[in-house]
Amino acid sequence: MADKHPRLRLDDNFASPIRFSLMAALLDGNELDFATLARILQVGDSALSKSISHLHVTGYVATRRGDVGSRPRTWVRSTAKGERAFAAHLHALQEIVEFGGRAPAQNVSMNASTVRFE
Amino acid sequence: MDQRPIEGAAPLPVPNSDIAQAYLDQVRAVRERREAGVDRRGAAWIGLVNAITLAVYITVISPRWGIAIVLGVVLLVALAVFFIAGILGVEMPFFVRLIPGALALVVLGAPALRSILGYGPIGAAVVFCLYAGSAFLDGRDG
Repeated sequence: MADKHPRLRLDDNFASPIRFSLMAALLDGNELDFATLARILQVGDSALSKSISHLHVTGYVATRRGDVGSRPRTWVRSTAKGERAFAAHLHALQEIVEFGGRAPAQNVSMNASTVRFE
Repeated sequence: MDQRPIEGAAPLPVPNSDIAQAYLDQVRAVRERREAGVDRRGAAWIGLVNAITLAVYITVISPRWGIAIVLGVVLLVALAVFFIAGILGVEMPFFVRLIPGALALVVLGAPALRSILGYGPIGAAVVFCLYAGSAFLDGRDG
């Protein structure tokens, strides 16, 4: 697995900036309510709702509904599956930055070792 | 794990290193906005009050080893169950989440109730009224 190019470990579910930021906000086991998320991510309700629905369908976030006083409220948190996927995605991005888009060193050395046998 | 495209869509173009770095910077920026925007003082006060209450309680019941041991076992079992469920990503049914609290209530509540009833019916009614009045005033102030 380690010799795969980082691009092969990207998760396109996080390609959207809002979905990416949503997962970043939910890191560290935070459970945040919808209004707080909208304020942190600086997005409208509709866009945030779509992003939460998308990640909910993929099983990356879980939602909980409740009331605060007489007002309904929705809380969102990342699932274990979502945290693993997002951590892998971040790791792949980090490697893309480090390799500058080139193939990882393991691949280079493997190819070089097969060039000649003397 | 191969690149995971959105279901029903072709894999998206791979970001170059500049865009990848911008995404990583965004994680830090979102975290900073979250820490600046979420007021955790309420939760911190509750945590402090809980810690003080627990400390006082442990001090008071420490001579009563039976209760302390049973309470400790209840808490350890609850911690183990919730810890394993958290690692496995299992959603706990609501009634399961009630069990440790119910056990703690029985373990701690039963001796307290016996003590209150030890005052006799009138004494118990007075103690109840005092505590109920205190709780009502706390709730109105809070």
